[in-house]
Amino acid sequence: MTEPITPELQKFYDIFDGVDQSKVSEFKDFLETNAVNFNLFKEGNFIERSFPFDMIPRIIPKKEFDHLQAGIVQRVRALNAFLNDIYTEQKIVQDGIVPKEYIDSATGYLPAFAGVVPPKGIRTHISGIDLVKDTVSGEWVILEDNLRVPSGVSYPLTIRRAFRHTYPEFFEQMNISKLRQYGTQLKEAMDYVNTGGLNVVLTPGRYNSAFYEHSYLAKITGATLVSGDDLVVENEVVYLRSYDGERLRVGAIYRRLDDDFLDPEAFDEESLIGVPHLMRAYRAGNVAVMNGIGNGVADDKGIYYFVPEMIRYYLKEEPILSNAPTYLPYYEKDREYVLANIDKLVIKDVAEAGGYGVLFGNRLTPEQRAQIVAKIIENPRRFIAQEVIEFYDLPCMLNGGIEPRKADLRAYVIYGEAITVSMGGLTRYAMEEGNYLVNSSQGGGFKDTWVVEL
Amino acid sequence: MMETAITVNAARYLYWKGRYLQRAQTMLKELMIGYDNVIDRNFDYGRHHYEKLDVVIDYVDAHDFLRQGVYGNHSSSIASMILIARENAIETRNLLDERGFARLNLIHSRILSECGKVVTPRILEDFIDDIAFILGIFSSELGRTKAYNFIRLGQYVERFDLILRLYEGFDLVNSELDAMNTIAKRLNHNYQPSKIFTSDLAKGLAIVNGVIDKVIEEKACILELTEKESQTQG
Repeated sequence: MTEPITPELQKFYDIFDGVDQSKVSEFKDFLETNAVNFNLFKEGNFIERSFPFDMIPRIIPKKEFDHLQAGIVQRVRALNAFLNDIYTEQKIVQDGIVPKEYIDSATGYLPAFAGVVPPKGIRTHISGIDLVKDTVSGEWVILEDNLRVPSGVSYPLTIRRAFRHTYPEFFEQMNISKLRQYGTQLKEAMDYVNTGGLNVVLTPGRYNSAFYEHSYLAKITGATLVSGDDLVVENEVVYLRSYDGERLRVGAIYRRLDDDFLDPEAFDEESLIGVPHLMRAYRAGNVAVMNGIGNGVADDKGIYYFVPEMIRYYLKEEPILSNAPTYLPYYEKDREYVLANIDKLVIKDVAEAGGYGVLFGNRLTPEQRAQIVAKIIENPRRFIAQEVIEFYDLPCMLNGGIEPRKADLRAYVIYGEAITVSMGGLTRYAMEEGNYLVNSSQGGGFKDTWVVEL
Repeated sequence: MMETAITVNAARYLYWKGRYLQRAQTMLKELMIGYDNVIDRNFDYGRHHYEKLDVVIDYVDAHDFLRQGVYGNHSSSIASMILIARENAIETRNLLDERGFARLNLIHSRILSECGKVVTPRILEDFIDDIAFILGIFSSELGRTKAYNFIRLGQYVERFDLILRLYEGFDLVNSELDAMNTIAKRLNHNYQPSKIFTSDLAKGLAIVNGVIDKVIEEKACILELTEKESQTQG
């Protein structure tokens, strides 16, 4: 079902009817010419691939976005409080809100970092909160919290500029919220936690799927783009190896690689893209690492279930935004429901991400269903089950016409001195009709997201 | 104007980007000269010219000579140079002018899409213009950044390298050496100016190509840290 046309969207169409639509091709040229890529590794080959773009934006009325913003800020505050608690006193466990087993068995939980307090107590510096709009309730529903290395923000930021150049009419005639302050806000967040020294963006390198984004973020924040071998740690202080032999102290690292690869001494000893001894500097409080170490425990799909309770527990507030109805096979009652209704539910493997490990019960063969049932019984902690959310399609310019496609929204949140939600976000759509998986790693495309006040 | 720090890796990528773009531009011009020669003056001119670069090429006519020069399976083909220049540019695109990067990307796409097709002098002229645009766009910026200077340094070194290899033009290189030394000194105040007091080609090339190792003090940085770390751990 396609989202009903709001006055804001109607205004877009009215302007769209009057513009030179042949210029739409300029977006594709722009993305290709500027190598705005989301690269893929397929069958062992590195493929440079532009991120498919659809010019019809997702348009969110300002009032609706204000509500979203409040809910997202509330959620990120609670998640940050949860992480600070889990790595110190674990009151939420002691008070019986989250079972200890769920913490201990979360792959992203790093007990070795218990007691480490990051600069200014911030761990969720940059979050990507995934939402969809439910066709039944008409409400936005949170699907996922991404608190480790959420990617994608560079694409709407980049295309916005191209949009303004190609079709200024929309920006002249519609009151569209600006995105351009994102770079400044991110820089300010880096400065806020910086322990003294340079800001750097740490990339796994040119062959990472999101390398374009790493480079872009370095550019808009003025941070230095570095690889692991550009940094050294001496006496628990991180230095950048400048070309002239100088060592420049580093105070904040916006790392774009997972915990496992960050420091071969502390994590995967075979990692060649990390910085040896980096965790010594982090533990000593001599460098801020953004996002925090061990954040994976909070965006674990199993922990997601408890976020509304976290909000009540830490903030003493009612959640503004809802989760998708979720069941934990870990609880006997939920398990019975899941096993009895598996053909109606979505089953998610908590260890997977990027659209992998997601099974729609109604699309499984009897054999596949039996296999997943056996796996759930064997290891209930590994799975969650969710009701299928019938979320809205958005109109997309495809195959020479306008066709509906499932689409979600990733909202980007920066946690610095204040918590700010970028006034837009990344709308991702599925390439095939009826497909619910919109992830870029699953071949999906993207749209800009306009927050509009008439 | 606050300037971002330049890492050892980024410095090398920028330097090599400058070198490969300069090499591509120079070789495109050399191809134009070679094309004229191959047509009706000296058919073997192209073969001999590439031998000076340790490259063996074979061609049947003037157009084939151009095709070999642009798409040939050797390290001095224009396609190889553009590919490497682009790789170095991707690594450092956060430090580069976006239009310059986009233009390089366009040349690369064009080379890929036209690979193996007939190459005409007109196409070479287009490439020369594009590369001139890329190299020129940095000089139009208000701030002479370190990134800009690394690219310029790469251009100078490559230019001198080719002048020596192709024409053994020691006088020409010496007359322009001060300009390169000025840039190198600006990048690293410890840099001692290079001078060429020899007419030996191998020694001259070693001096020119060694300039970057006097600007990028990679070993000094590593050694200093290693010594201090071993003291700490010991």
